Amino acid sequence: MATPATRRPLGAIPALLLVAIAIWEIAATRCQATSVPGDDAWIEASKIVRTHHQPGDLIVFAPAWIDPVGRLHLGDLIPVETAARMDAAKYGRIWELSIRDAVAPDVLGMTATKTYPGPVDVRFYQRRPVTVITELISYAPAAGRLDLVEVGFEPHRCLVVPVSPARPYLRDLFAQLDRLPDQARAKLIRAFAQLLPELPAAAAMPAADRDGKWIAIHMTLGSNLAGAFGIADIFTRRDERRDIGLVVEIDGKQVLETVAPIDRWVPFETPTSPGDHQVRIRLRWKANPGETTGVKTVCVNAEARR
Amino acid sequence: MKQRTVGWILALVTVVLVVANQQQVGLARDELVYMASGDKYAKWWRGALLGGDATTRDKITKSWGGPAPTDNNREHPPLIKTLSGFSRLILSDGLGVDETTAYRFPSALLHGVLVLLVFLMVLELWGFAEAVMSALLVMLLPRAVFHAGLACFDAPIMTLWFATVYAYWRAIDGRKWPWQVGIVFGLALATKHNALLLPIALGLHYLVAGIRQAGTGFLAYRWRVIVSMLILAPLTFIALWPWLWFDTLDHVADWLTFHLTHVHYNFEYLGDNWNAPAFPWHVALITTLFTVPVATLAASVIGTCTWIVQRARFDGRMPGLLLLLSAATSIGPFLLGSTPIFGAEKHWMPALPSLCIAAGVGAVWAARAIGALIPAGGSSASTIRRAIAGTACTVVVLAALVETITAQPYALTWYNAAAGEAPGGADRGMNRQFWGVAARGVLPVLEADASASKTPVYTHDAAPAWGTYLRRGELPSTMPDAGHEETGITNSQYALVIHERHFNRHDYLVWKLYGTVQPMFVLRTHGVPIVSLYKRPRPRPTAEKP
Repeated sequence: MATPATRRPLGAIPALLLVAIAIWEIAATRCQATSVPGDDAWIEASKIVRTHHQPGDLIVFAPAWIDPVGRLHLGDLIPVETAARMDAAKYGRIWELSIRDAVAPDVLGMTATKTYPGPVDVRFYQRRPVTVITELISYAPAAGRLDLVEVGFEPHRCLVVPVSPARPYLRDLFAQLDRLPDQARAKLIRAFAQLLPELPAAAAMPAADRDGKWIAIHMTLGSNLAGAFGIADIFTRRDERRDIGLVVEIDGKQVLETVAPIDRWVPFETPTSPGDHQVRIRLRWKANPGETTGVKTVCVNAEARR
Repeated sequence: MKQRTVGWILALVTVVLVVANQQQVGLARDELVYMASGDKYAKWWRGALLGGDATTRDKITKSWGGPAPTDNNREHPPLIKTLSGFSRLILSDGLGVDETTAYRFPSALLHGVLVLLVFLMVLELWGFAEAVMSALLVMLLPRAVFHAGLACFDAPIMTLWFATVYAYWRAIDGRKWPWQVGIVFGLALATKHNALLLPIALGLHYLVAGIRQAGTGFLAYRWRVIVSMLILAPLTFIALWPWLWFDTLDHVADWLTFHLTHVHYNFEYLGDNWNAPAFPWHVALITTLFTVPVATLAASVIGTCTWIVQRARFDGRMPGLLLLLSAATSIGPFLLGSTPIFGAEKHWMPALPSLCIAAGVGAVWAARAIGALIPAGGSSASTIRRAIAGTACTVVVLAALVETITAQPYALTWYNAAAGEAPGGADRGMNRQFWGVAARGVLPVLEADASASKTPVYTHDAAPAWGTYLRRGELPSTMPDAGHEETGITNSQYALVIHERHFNRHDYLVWKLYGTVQPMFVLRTHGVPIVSLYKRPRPRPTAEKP
């Protein structure tokens, strides 16, 4: 059987369109597949950066997916600590190497001081950096460990804090249980565990952490406190998907409250008065009755800025 | 030359294409499990057929099952694994073909069968030109060519799914003994659990076609087909899977429960990492639009319109509805937002034969429509028309061919021209790859950098394949797998990281433990990074010398 075809010119429009699409696809496939600059272009761009680079400069790549190639060519100029930065505010000199007209998040809204166009565009940005007086991780409080972890699919060097769930519905029960002698308390917890399987784990937590994990430090502050936090570990994020909340108190007064959803590195900032202060940061998430869930691994950092 | 011979030739070309292409493709994490199981299954069958005591409950359990849900890979039906095992025995042990090709050959062969079946169905429905075009467009699906070259089930189920649809369509012509449909459906069930959806498509079609043909007596319309599917299919399925020869209901329940409660792997889609429902409803649609050649997609739209307009030419078996239901049933579950989306198009590939048939019909209609623009008259007009129509068809096929060539061997990173190819896919935050296949691309770099001393490699997602790469001599024996996670990286002199968004953490572990963010090599496909290879800046002292 043969397909009857149209003899009307108008009827041939979709047919011609199909041929045009096919011809375009043949050409576009080759063009697009070869549209990413190769190593020669990166070597040229790297030469520009290496000529003008100064210690402490930040080098970023755009789009994010080309980052491995950028590090291949300039990784020796990027310390691990810089790659795993909290944010870019303390960098006054930034080199951006970009392809496909992409812009790195670290320089969004900034105007390049110098531009070196090419297959790999090199843009240099200069600005007044913030001065960091001190940062949370330098205090290394007992609340967690200093580590480089993945948060929001980015590297971050931070204080890594295990945070068990808050269970406010157990508050009254604990008020009664905590008055009892240890042996009687343990017996009752075992008995109640039949009804509330989460009770033994909740009872084993320090009383101070039952309504969230507190990080308390004496910190020298400047004109503001800037930080960021998020949930580390892709697999615990998959299995336990609730947000993590953060509260900042300075000298006993709450100055900030925010939340970080899974897969996000969330910045926070609050004005402060210069001087020594008691800073408390609470990380908190809530579980429901009957849930025997694990802990969230939270990555947090903060800088006191002049 | 008979027209059908062309179908056989196209099938043969497909098999050659797939076999040749897979030579460049690294080992996929899952197929190594299937290869090992296939060896066991084939060995068991050989023992059983030679009259040993293999059919005892204990012996069956030892080769086919076990207490844990994934013992002997009992969570997947056995047909393709068994064929792979026999293929290895015959082609590799017997004829000296390389082992990996031997394991993968059944899948390649079945892909050729798919092309042949598409050709035969379209030949009967529309004609020679449409049959050739449809077969070529099935052959030139870039991702399908890739999957057909693996010893996995995703391409084979596309073949067995379509084979069931085709067998059903032939069976409802009123024949007395429609045994083929039952047998083929049984083979599909023994290939992959997707086949369980087929009765939805076939049942709905039977209902509509039956009511149209027989009114209220629709159940009796072609009742033998129903009997064939209800009796022969389960018998075939069970016969091929010794694990179901005892405690049948429990074992079937285990198999289904595994898939109904399957963990959600990480998968990147439009810039977000997805590992839990609710998934976007459009994942299957957008992914299909980005992973089938654009010209094929466009031709399928024209073909669908052509089919609707010319539906009166077909008999009461309603092939258009059947193909539509086949595609919709295959892809439908992925619109729900709860079906796991990892693996993307490979999980709904049975929808593609319908799409390519529509595309073949559409391309030929379009070619003839363009040819018809040449005014009639003169002896050469007909020749010119044919030449123009032929050129138009060739251009559509060329577009699919160029995409297919461009995609290999890292086809999981490839996206079509509408998406912007691999770089466009990366820009749009589409999934980069899975299964660790790309790791093979860094082996020559590692080999070139090898020294006489032992330099273990953190092999990341390629760990299951590493032993095979070493055994095949693609790496020196001084470069064994260093182990998992931080311990592995600590013990390693080289580390490779396969780029998927949720694997970024492996980069950061390497940075932390190697003290550098600079890889020694970045494997790219069309400029898009797929594997980073790091070398420890200061080699750790090793006590062991080769």
